[in-house]
Amino acid sequence: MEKIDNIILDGVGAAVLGKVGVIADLHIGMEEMLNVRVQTHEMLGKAEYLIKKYGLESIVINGDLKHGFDKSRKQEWEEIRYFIDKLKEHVNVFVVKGNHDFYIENIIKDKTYEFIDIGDVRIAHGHKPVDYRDMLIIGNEHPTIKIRDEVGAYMVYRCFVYFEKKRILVLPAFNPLSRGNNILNNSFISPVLEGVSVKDGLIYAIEDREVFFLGKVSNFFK
Amino acid sequence: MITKALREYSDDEIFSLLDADVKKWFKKKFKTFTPPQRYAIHEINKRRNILISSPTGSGKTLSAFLGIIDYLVKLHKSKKIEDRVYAIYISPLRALNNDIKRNLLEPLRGIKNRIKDLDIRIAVRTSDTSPSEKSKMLRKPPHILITTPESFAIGLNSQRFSSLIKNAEYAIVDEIHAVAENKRGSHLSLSLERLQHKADKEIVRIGLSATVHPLSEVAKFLVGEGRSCKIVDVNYAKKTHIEVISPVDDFIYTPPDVANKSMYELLDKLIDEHETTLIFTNTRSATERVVFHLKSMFGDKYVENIAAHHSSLSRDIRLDVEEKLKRGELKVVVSSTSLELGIDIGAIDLVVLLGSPKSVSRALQRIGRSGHKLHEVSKGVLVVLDRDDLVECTVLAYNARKRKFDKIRIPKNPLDVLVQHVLGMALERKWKVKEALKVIRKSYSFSSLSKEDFVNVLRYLAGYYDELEVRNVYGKIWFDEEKEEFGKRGKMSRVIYFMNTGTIPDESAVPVFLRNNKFIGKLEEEFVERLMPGDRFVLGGKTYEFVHSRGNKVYVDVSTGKPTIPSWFSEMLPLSYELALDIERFRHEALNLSVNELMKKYRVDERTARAIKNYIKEQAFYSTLPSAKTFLVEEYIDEDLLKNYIFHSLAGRKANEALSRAFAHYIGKKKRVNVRVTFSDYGFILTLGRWKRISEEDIVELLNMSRTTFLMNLKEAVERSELMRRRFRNVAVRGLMILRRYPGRTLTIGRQQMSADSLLKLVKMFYPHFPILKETYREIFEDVMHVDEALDYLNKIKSRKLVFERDKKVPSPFAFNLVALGARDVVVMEDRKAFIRRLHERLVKRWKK
Repeated sequence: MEKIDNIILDGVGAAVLGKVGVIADLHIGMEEMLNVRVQTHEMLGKAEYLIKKYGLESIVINGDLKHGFDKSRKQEWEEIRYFIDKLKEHVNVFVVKGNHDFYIENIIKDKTYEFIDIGDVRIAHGHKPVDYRDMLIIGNEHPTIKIRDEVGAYMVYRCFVYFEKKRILVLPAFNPLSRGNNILNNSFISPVLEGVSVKDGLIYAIEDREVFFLGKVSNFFK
Repeated sequence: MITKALREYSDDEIFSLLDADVKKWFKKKFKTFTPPQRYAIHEINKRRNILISSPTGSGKTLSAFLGIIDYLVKLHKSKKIEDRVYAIYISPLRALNNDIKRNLLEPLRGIKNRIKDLDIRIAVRTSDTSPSEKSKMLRKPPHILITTPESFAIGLNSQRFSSLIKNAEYAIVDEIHAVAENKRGSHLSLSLERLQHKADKEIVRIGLSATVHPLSEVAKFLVGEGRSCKIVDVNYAKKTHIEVISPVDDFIYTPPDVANKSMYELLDKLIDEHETTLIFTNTRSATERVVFHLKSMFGDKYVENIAAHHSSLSRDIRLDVEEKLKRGELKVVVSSTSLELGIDIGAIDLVVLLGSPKSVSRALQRIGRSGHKLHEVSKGVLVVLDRDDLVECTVLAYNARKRKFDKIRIPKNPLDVLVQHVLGMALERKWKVKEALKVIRKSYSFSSLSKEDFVNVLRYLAGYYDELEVRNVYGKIWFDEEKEEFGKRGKMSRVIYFMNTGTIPDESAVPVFLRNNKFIGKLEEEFVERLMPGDRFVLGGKTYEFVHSRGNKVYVDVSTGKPTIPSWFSEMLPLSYELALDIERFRHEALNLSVNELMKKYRVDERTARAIKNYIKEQAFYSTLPSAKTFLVEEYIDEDLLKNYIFHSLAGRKANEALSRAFAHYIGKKKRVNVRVTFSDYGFILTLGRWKRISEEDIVELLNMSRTTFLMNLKEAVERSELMRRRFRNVAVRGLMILRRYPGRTLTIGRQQMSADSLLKLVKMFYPHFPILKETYREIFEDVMHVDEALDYLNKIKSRKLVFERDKKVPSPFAFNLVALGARDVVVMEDRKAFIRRLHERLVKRWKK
């Protein structure tokens, strides 16, 4: 099991702090733009697995629950509500607002948060500057890493990235369809990571509900 | 029935058919008829379909049009001429259209001088035509319409316009050999059938073609099933002179800069000796390079009198170059493929081909651009670039002299193209399945279409796959399976059709910039996708280091280091299978022929003959000569200690791609490893990591694979490949499953790919027989690769003796070019989890140290 202090990194792409699970970037409704929608079920499955495994009492959705920037389309609206209602059958749900989440309060019929603190750990989406005391958990980046072997085969994995000095943990996108941003190619977009070198990050790649620690990003630069 | 046009009619016979004024004009202007005119005009007058293959300068345009103009003049005189389109001229090159218009206006003006009130109108309709010009055409329709396959297809579905063309009596397809080979042609052939179905009488079809083989195939493509066609082949009338020249004595012992210098000196000399020279290179980047070096190496000799002409240049620049050529203001023009077709480019007396053009037809097509007048000799020089090229060009020139052509391939039943037409038909009216199928099967491209495939296309378009959550791929037609009828549905279908019809995929090259935003060039997206920071590669002759990619842009630094990733370009032309087999035969023959015999039979100079002999002797001395009796496989261990298995299969790239992917998949499965594949015209390489090896038994197993095992392995290999993802995207876009244009939005390539990826996943899971998926496989197996040739070659290998040379630190001479080539793909056998676990474990091991 991979841990940072007392925070468990789970292979579905969630951080677990005691009885609270944190997930980010669900982008429900993305499938509609892509003509297909099958991902809500998969995400629900992962969330339920998480709840059972750790006996969770709460889930924090750390931003970008919704995908479309415009006023919600009916399909998006229905799926988000279905997803939240299903979760609420088992746990308390707290929604931290992300940059995609316009009108989200109307859809979930609940309030949203700019950030949530669990002890000294602050949970915020990361698209706006935010201060924190000990540690910060953000989403927004959809980090992935491309890995290539000696004969040139390559694959892309979603991953957590952790910056030890700044004490910032970046969550992978919970939506399995997101192609993500290869951290080897792109610099970060979140203002909270301004001035942070990608190369200092530690990578925890995820695949099929398992976590694989891969060391420092700088190892991947020749 | 497809038959040769046998009769060459005399002047008197032809003149006797023509209107008196047309006759007088022609007599005054030309005096007598050219060979293709002698064969064709009479047949067209008798309303017979005809395919004309004749050289430049032989009066091709008038062969096709004189009979039609004559008919229109007669209609005018008898006051029967109506305001509608009588003849449709279709050319794949938009650039050609204005030229043709000019070529037709001239005779019409000449005839009009004699008949004052003559009003035969000509109009061009392409994607460039403005709406006001289009509505003008509706008010005063042209009698002769000049168009492209795409605009023709759209015109068919525009109600007012189609009523003007529906009784067209003649359809002329120019450069038909160039469309027959691809999906633009499949699309056009259905448009023609749909037009025919609306028309009252049989449309006379006239095809104009370059020399391709067999012409009877092209004729069938032109006229469709069950119709007859005469073939006129007058290429014999043109004399062609082909020569192979090597710029150096020896490619191995000449330093590259010296070889380069002598090549440009040779070019300079050839240019000097001729009035106007046209140089063909095989890539656009090479075109630019040649112009650059000629300009810089010879003082100010080449400044205003030299120009490049390729498809990446803007249309204005290209037109300017063409005009200058016609006016004789240029001494030399360098082109890739763009000057291969069409337009009259004036008096060129020498064509130079830099490097093998890879097929006899293409060589003759290019060389045929010289010798403007029919009686002039077309002169072509093949300048060879390396030793393989030397052998290849020698064989190619020999075959060209013997007029031994490679075969044309016409795609059969491309279902994505069918989807577009079925929607087009449904928009017109209600159809019975049987009736629609009959129309479609008249097209040669769809003559063997099964009812099952057709019904699947109807089901797909009707949104039958709805319950499997492909919901947002809306139904665009209704289909009553019981009554066997279909028709249009929904308001948007019409808009979707007009916005998305066509077969050419969006350009997907990624622009490359330095970090200061200076543009360097373009890379193929497949290549970009596998780059990692620190990788060095060559682009346009310079080395760069990959920094990162952002959005759809690549950023690089200039690098002085050695490239770590070889570049490759899919625009490289593939060697035809027939030519490949002849080269294989020749290699063996040349080993036994004396220098003198070589010179005599293959018409090369002594220096060239010696260079060939030396190359082949070297191979036989240091290794084994692969031939029709011996199959050579080498195990070469490279600097990185990777194991490379070099298969000397001289079968052309398209067959080798299939062979290498199937073999890699088989070995990968057996050894549980990822296998890199590199393939070229001359063979392929399977590369394994340090710790795995292929044994002689493994190779025997590979070579003895049955047809079924081979096809299964190939399919599995393709299923997991990037190639599949990209081709599915293109087919899905063509098949209107992904709409690249929709009112209010356009899908970027990236978005198209994301859509394609999720659709592919779904379709593969639920609908193995989905027409779009089926077509993707067909396109990959038949167009991208040539599986039939791969199987044929595999059969040949089976009867050959296997020579397996192990543990080599230096590959054999024949393998040099192949080894220097870039990897094309990796067949990944590990699953995602095994792949990352392996890396994790390796890292943990390293940390423990």
